[in-house]
Amino acid sequence: MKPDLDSLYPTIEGIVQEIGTSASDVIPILHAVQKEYNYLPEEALRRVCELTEVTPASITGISTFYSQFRHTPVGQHIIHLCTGTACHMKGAERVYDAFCRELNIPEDQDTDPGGLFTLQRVACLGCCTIAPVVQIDQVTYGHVQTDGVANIIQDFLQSRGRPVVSSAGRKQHAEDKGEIRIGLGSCCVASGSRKVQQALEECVEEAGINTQIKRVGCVGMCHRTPLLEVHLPDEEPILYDKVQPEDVKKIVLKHYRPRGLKQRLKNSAFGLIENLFLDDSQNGFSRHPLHFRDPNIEAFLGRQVSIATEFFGEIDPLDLSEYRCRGGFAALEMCLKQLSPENIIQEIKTSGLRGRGGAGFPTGQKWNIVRGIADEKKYIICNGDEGDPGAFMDRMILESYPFRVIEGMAIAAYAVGAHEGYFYIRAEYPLAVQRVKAALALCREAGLLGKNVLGGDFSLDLTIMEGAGAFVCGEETALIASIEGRRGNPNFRPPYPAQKGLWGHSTLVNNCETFATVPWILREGTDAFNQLGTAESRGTKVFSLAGKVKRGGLIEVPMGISIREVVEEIGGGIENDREFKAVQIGGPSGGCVPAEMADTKVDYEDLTEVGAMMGSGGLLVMDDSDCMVDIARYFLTFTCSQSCGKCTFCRIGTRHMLDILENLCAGKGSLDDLQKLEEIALSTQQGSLCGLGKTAPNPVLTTLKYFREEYEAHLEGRCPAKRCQALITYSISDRCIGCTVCAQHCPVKTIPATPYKKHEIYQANCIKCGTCRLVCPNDAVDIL
Amino acid sequence: MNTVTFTLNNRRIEVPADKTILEAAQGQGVFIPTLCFANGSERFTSCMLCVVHELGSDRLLPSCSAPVAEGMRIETDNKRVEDARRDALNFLLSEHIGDCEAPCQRACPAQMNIPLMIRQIQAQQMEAAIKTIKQDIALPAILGHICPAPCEKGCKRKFYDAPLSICLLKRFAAEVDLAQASPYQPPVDDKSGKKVAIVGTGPAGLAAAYYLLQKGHACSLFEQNSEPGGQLRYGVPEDKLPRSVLNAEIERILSLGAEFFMEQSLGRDVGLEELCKDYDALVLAVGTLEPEALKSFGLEKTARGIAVDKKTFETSIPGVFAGGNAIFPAKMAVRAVAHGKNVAASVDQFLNGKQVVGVSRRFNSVMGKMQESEAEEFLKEAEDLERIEPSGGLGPGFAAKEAAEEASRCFGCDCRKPETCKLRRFADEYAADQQRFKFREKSKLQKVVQHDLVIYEPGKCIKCSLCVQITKKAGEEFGFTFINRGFEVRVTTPFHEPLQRGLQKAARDCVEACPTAALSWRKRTRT
Repeated sequence: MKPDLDSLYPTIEGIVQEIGTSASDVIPILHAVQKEYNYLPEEALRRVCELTEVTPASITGISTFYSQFRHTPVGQHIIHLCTGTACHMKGAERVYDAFCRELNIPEDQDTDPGGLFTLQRVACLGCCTIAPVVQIDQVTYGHVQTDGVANIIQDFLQSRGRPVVSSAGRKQHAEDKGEIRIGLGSCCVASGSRKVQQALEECVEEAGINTQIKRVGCVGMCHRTPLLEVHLPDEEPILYDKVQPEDVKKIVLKHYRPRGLKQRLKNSAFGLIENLFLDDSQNGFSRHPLHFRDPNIEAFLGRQVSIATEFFGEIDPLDLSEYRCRGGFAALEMCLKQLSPENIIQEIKTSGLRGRGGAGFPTGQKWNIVRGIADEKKYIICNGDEGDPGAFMDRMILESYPFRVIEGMAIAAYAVGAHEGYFYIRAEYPLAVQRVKAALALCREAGLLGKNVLGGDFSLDLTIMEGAGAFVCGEETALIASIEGRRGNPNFRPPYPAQKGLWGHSTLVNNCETFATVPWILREGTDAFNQLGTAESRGTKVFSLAGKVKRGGLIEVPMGISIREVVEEIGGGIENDREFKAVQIGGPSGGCVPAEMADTKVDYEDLTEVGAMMGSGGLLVMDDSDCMVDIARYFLTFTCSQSCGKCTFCRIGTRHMLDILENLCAGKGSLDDLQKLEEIALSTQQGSLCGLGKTAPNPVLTTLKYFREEYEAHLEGRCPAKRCQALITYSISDRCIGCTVCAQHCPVKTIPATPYKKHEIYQANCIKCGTCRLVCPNDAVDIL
Repeated sequence: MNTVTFTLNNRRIEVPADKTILEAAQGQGVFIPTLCFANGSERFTSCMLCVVHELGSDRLLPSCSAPVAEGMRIETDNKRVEDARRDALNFLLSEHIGDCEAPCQRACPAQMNIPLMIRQIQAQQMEAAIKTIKQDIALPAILGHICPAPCEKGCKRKFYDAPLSICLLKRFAAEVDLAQASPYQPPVDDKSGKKVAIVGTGPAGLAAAYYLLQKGHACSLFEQNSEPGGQLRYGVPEDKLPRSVLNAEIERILSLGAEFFMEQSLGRDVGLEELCKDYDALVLAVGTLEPEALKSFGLEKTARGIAVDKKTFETSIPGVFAGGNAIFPAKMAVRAVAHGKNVAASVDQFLNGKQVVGVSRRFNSVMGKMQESEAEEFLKEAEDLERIEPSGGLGPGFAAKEAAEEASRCFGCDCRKPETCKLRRFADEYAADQQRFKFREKSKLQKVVQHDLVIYEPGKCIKCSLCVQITKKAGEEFGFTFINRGFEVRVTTPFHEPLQRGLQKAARDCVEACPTAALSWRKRTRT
């Protein structure tokens, strides 16, 4: 498997030539090397050191810090199993086990014996509404169930080599009648919208229909993806949800007539059959058209206010002229031509905008500090390193509204006096990287970036820096370290980046949602923004709503809305009619707010008050089948693996908490565990260096505070939510009809097939994968 | 120059604005502990031992990195700070793989530095060996014959094949010494002018005399029998303990200037009050007491013997100390010998007018039960030989070659930097407790023996970054680097290069800067 040196050396030389030789180029170089070999051969790294200023110590330190980098050869295809919160809640670990079984991956290894697939857990892929999610190479599968794993592998292997649909869409023609919009955010793509798009293009082409196929960004209703929207002149737009490729033709032919008689005749052969299904009442047509007046959609959209997500589902993410037609870059133009930097900062201050990355620092104040620092060079950074498992706001904003973020950044750069900047984007968001890259090129072309922006004196250069898989790099000093080509260790603040940031220069770091909000504020006025939200938390906040809610998706709501309103009105309540138990807000830094406190307002102060945190905006809803001890364990697994490992409290404290939580979930807790857990949590909270460690105990402290009885039950060896594997058993009840389906599906063959008789599980071999319960047609498998 | 004024431990001070809190405190002579920060190093802010309390914000700040600011109110040593520092230490210790003192030494009632003695025997430095022994054990040849050797029960090698033959090695060293024309004589301080009466000449009394005499105090020993030795002479049969050995070691004490008064029984020939009057201090090493006799002394008592303070051996009468079987009967001479040493320390403190605190035990990191895989690591520094039995039988004990060979089996599990380790020092100062936070599974010992001069024990590394910084500064081709993230962070050489290649220029600086014994000289500083 090892690459031979004769071919390796020129390859590495090529990479270095293209990227650069300075010490700070190390991360892009590593990305490039890995892209070439699928892992980082040691010989390649040594060669990089010979050719560049990168030292062996630094390349080793960096390549082992970021989890995207691999040091051992991998299989031909990589299966990324998302371990985000929503996926975890919906059984990602079982799916992982199922893949291991299906592919015969030996224990302690990650690749099947044939070297075809490597199975890897990854941090959140940001497709939380279709959890659990698995990504094989570039293909994403949602709603993965343990018994569907074999099909997925088969589907992937069969679909290999098929042409990938161009995402650019067809050029618009004058005679085009209306448009068909297709959502192409990551969730949509994961649910199969690329295939739908392909089917759509084929169908339109074949039938000779005059219409515009338009790619739009995230529509927000991720729970119903893939989404397809038909807009005809003078007609109410109609939205189709959960569209499959085979549905496309029916939908198109319902709204459009094929051109010319010949085409019509050609179509009539299958049209006859198809027409039978055009009656929406027929069972065969499962895709119901939805009018926007549909009460479900109305409820989902009703409370929302779009600022950062303005024109969601309407505009093409990369259509610059469309963005400008709708008021895009007007704010920038106004700023450059009519406002002084001081004016702009005053406006932002007056608006009351606070940082949307989590901590809520007043944005205007931050800008003012950077503005006030005398430095011949200043930088601006867009923090798009959204790492919270269960959050996908940043991804959606960058994918769907790249121009808006660029505009906000340009305004900020002008206001603080920066002329160079970076987009720091997670490597797990390839589509976001791709779109921002394209948007930057379009802006440069249009004179919106580069020298003399919009013909004035102001210049701004923006480049993309791809992260490499480290949650901690969302912390601004760690992010800066990462751009500088170092391990992502946070530093003590002060000095703040505003004082001494990138390369020692004054640097403004804002979250991408913050930037995306800026153009609206300046265009619509601070009063309009001020009217939204609460006294301390103005405006709106984008949340990714996922978990056990009926309608998950991306939502933008005024600050101060209650948790109950989000869950019940927008989210439509709990799915499968289970009981609403809690919401987890703010991811690993946040906390669990119990259902009894659902009237808590969603704003910075109120959430902190109850022990949670706004965080970047992940909002996961839990029902009575979610175990709070397990959730705490889940988050500590995350923070523990994402801690940079520098300061004592975070590095060791989080590990101790995880140790205790693992014991509790395994039914091996001891009586003083809860007290000790609390002590370690408090100690870690006050002693840690950066926000990651200081907030890592929040999931533990809030669950201990609000769900202590669940912890106590675990001490007694019970898991009330019937979630913790070590504390439950599967059992077949009298409802069993003897159909043998469970016996056929049991991966360890511990259910003997006894046709027409009640089945039984031999507990000794049961791995508690839950497959029997999933496949049983008569709901006869109980968890005891 | 810009300055700021702030409050440090209730004192208002003015310092240049670019100082850190630590620098400002140092300037005021206020000590703040640090592990990851050394003068001249970058501010890495990892150990968090340097936290101080800022009262205004009620936050803990790492003083090595936090700059001073106008109006700050800093306290460097309040309870919150101490608790946080102790937590930090407890966290670091919870993953610390190493024993400060070897388990044999901890198991020895006299806490003799056994590994050091073994290394000295192996190196055939017999004079050094007897010196090491006699620092803690006054009667090593005697104990070499009769000691049940609790040390050997603690020996890690026991879990691999068989424990070191510690007791016989000690006897070997002691008998080699006694066989010399002029056996080892410890240095003696100038005469203090103080007089101590020691009642009883058993192992406790003899040992107390041995150490008190070295401190320059005159010792009078009172023995009820006609010959000294107590239970050693009257309770141990001669075939177990040759009288020649007994006499020879008593002779060593006599030669230090001890005065013996034979056939003097307390309460019959000489009274407690009288001794108290005539002497500056009194040591009761009278052996197991009959209840009647115990009563007559008028001292507070327990069910088993004279009541004493556990740490200082002080009885209820000031200036009167007691040890050995007099306070708690037990058939283990080494325990009595240990009492003698500890009593002597208390008496010396008493005579010098100091607060009597006894012998304080230092903090000890404990690795716990040896895991199977660890033997392999220890064997990197020990011979894989079976336990040597003396060819001439137990009576004569080891021959010189046998002793050296047996000594070469020692795992050397004691720390290489027990005195200079900053982690141990602060663990002592903040009364850290390694058992406070415990992991379900222990990490495994690893010894990197790949360098001529330096040995690296990753399990003792606290990830302070000093060696990483030093090797970078020194321009080492490979040097050290951090790998991994979170709890899995380790310091290692890049590309799995052997340590020899990693450390070509900066070995000395790294070993000296390393705050623990993660990096230490391969050759022990004291052999």
